Amino acid sequence: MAGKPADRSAVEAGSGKENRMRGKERAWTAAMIAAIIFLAGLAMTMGRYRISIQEIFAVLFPGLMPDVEVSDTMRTVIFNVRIPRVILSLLAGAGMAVAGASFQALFSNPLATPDTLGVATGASFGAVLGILWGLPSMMVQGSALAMGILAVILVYTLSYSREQSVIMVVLAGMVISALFSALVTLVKYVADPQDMLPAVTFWLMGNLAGTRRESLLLGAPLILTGILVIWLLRWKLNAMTLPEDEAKALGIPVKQIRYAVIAAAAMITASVVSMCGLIQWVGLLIPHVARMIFGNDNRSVIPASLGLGAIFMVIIDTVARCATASEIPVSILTAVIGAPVFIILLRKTGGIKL
Amino acid sequence: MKFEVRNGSFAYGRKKRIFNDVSFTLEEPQILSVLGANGAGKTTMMRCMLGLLPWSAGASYLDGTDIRRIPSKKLWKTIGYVPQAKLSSFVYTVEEMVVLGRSSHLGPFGQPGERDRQIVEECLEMTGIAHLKGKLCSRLSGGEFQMVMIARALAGEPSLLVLDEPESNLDFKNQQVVLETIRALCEKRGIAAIINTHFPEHALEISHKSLLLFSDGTALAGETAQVITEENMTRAFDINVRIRDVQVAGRGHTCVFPVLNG
Repeated sequence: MAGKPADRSAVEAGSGKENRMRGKERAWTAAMIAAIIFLAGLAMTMGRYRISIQEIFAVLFPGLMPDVEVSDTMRTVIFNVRIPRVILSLLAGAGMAVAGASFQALFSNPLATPDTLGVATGASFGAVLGILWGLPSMMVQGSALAMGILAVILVYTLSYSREQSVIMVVLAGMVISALFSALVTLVKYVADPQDMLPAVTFWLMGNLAGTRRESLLLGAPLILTGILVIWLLRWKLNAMTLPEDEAKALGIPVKQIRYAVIAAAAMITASVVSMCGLIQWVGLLIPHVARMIFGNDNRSVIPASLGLGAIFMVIIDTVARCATASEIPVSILTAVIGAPVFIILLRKTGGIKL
Repeated sequence: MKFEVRNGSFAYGRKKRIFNDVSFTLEEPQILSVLGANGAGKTTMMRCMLGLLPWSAGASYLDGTDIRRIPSKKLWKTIGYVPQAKLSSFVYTVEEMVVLGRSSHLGPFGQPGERDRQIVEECLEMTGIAHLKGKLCSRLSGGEFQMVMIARALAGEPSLLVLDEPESNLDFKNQQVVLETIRALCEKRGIAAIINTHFPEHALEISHKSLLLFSDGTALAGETAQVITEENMTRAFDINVRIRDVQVAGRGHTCVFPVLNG
């Protein structure tokens, strides 16, 4: 093995393979961007109020199609309802998938989800409390956001010590999650079963129906910032899956990166949950789909989760609002559609690469 | 590069003293072997030495500076650590694994580029695993995976390699391959190495200096031939040890072996 002379052809074949890999990644990137644009456009045409693709173009790019007539109602529907909702579904899907992928790497555990540290449960409590008190929707969102962030601060404080380990962080997260989960149950218990309880329950199952431009203005920057931070740190996430001593010995500032990623993922999760309730499955399922296609290197897993999450969620949400006369809760659909898709992929690709 | 441990001591809590007052110096391109019975604290010693575990007393110095005062990135550019080979829950390809060794040379948001890829390529060549580049680490044999870990440490272009029992779980052939690689690296690249090992013969074979940890917490450091003697080994391992020279095909080999009821 050692001291074998350099095998030229093997090296060249290696770099050829590398080029092919990069070509594959470029093709996937292009395909995902095209799919996102196409599906977003398609989703905007669908719904109770029918709008054609031409009409959407005419509204979005005035002057481009002078012969297509658009009404004010159409404009209102597109700008105030459809676009915010489609944007939110893209952001929520991308955000939850990226947050899930980052937690799985950070805790070196394929079963981690964006809620592993109790952020989503905390945010849910904030929201249902707001609903219980009859607060206006923006305040419900604000309260959810605040509770989600509070949850992660509690986790940080509980696990803080000089020789802090990742196990301490996860345990603290489980404790905080259990606490907030009990508080959510308490709210359900005291909620008026006639009108409050259905609202609370519906909210907990997740839906994007309440999307408005103002809520998006509060939530979207947080989601985008969180995604950006994780995107920038994506290569470092590979080292974070190693035992802590090993990562440190590679010169990785383990603690700082851990907190940066936790803060980023918490920001994403709290904002998504504050806007559209609990969305389950996406954060677990999409990163694994990405790994089945690209392997475990987070340089590919993070971008792929981002794209696939956005695509998956825009499809789910469009089905949620168009399939039946009333909205179907999103979490039901993510599981009903997501589980079979996941199983098919699992069988086809032979599973996660081990 | 000069690596030094001065009066290093470590204890868990107040009472449980592991070792006391360990001192040694190592310069390029020397190899130091650390020997000791199970529980004598070889791995603990290594972690303390590198600052991964705080010394209870004493300190490690790199070129005269206490390593606690050296910024972590600068420190890990000089020292390459090869831990006992273990797979994590997410498995990477050999190339993805080795390129992680470039971390200490890249900024917080940096990603490995063309130059880093070239260095990885060289390290794979040097350890003789270039043909395994695209393979998953879980599909490798123990010996091959150990080489990946060494290549990863080399990718950081260190002046000192620190290896924790690199040949422990390997067969005869692979033990020799790993030892030869380490020896060749020290000779060709002029780097120093510290090796934890269970095999006194390996220490005699490749190392200039040795550190022997006794179970009472004391330690003995010095020239390998002076440290690995029948008397010292018997004391350290609590079993009678004999050392014999044998000639095989005109080459001398030193055998160290335990003798029951001797």
